[in-house]
Amino acid sequence: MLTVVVVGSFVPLLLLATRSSETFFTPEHIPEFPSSTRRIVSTSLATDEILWDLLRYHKISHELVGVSYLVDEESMSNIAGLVPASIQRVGHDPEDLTTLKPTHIILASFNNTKLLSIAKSLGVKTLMLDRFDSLEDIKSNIFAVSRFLNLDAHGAESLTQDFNAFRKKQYSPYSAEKTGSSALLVNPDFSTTGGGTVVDEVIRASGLINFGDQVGLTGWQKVSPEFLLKATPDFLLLHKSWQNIQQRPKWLAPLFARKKIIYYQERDIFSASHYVLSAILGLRSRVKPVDPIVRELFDPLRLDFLKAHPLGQLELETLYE
Amino acid sequence: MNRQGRCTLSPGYFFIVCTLLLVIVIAVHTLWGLEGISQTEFFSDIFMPGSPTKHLSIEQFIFKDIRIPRTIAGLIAGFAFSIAGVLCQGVFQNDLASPSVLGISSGAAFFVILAYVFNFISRSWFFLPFVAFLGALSSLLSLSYFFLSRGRVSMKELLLVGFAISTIFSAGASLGLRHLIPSPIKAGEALSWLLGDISIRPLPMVVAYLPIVILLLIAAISFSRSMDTLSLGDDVAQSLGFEIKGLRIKLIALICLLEATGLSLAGVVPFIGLIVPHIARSFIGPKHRNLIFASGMLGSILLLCADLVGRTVNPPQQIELGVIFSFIGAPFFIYLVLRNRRTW
Repeated sequence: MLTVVVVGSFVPLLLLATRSSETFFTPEHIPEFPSSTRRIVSTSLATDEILWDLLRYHKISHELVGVSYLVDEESMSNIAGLVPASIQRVGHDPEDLTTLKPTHIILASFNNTKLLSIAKSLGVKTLMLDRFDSLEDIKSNIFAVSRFLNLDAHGAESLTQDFNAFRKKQYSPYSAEKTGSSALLVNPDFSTTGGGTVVDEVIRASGLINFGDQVGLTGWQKVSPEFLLKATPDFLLLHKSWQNIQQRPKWLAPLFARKKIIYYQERDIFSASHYVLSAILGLRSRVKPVDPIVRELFDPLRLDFLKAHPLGQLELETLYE
Repeated sequence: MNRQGRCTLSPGYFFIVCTLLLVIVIAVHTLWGLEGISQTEFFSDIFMPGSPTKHLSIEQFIFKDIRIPRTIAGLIAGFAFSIAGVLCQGVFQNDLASPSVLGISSGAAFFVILAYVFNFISRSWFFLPFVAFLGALSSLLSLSYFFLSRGRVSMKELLLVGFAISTIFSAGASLGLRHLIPSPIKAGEALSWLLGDISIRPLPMVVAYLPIVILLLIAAISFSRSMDTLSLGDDVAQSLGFEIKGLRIKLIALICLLEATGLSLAGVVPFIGLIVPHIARSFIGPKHRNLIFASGMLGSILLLCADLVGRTVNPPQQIELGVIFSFIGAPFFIYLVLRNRRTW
């Protein structure tokens, strides 16, 4: 009897939880909404960066009422210090989402589950972005956000036009296939990236071969320090904290004796928004300082969004003979 | 094989077998996969006095600066965790007791996460063990406060308070890891430590731990007779003139010091303190003098083997010690629960 009662009470809850919501959308299925005064909330850094530039392009940045708490994190955010304090930071406490009374929420699938369930329970229009694995994913996310907010496509095109220009050129004179130079990214926790990640694409689009992918790694993987010492990439991409000699682990000394090291800050290469292009251009300019692609795309007359946040934001540091 | 189904060996025979096994495991752990070790100059270059490090090949560098510290760290941590496990099971007179029930691992984990939150770790690589040690001691102080502020405390109460302390520190560690460490890279570093890792330990640091663990071993062996008496029950021990409360406080302090030593070298390695004493007891019997030393040796062998598996099973990726020990330890724990069900 007890079993029947317990199961019986769980079935409606289960049905409620699994029913497809009429307000919850994925990038593939976004209907048209009438535009009115909106309260837009973003819950991940990638969507913060996309929204901030997209809404400013359309001169409706006042509609943005909440961004993720990481937006002010200097080391990670490309728009740190630009988003006014009047726009609330969300994420620490998922219930902040409720107090903001949003009309539109833009979530990332890696947001914490409570945030996802609160967004679902609020019953407001919600877009869930679930792919951040390639430049193409980032581009389609930008268009998805634009469609979700019922904006005309010019804004999204403006943010992505340099993607198109760049993609047409990237495998021309300085392609990885021709230079054959490889790069290995090493995080302080001894993780590196194989194929199938945005960083892998950043490395490849910078005219380099991803050493991690070359040795058969996929996704983010922790590797042994011995592998790092024995690896022989042409370029090492090391975290900026290791630029400080005192913070370098002594037992990795041969790694720091390499000739071609590029130090990165998180935001330099971990971006999952249109700023990823500035990361690629920044890396290319370190690898090939006279790269014509970089020179052309750096032309301030051509750059719309990068004009506002020039590549001076990048902190990639190079150290090689 | 005795009446309880245990295969009891003579201590001498057991220690000979263990020593041989330990030597083989150390050799394999240190030399496996290195190229050029058949050449005579491989070792002479490394150990020649005044030989500058920069003249060493990568393989020689790996042997000297990564493999040797890693092996010593595994030896010491395995020894410390296992002896702490023996003492814990003796003090609480409970087969399922292990240092983690006192909240020591959680205390160390919480402090390490705090150090990452406030960015103290980047100041020196020596800072992490020190912080872990402080965390373990803070658990001990919380527990001692409870122990000393009450007149008479039952073992059940102590285990429950240990569990509560463990929960509080675990919650703090989770909070820090999830919300307070701003950079995913730093969070990854902290997570590595929480999952157990001996791959990156500087040689001076691990060598500094050698005298500490030897002193703690001597201290543990000096308590072995008292532990034997304690295993007969509190009433018998009291009737023989033992001051039970004082003895327990000293033993718990010793457990904390041993656990903190292991934690600061290897991070959180679950279950090792639980399973090793059982394996050793099944071979050598319950006398603590032999059991402490046997558990220490077996713990070192097991930890080095687990590290070897983690390092070689899917190179260049590395599986953390905590993951491997959880796979071995959790089924063993279930087996113990099922075996002891009738006696509860």
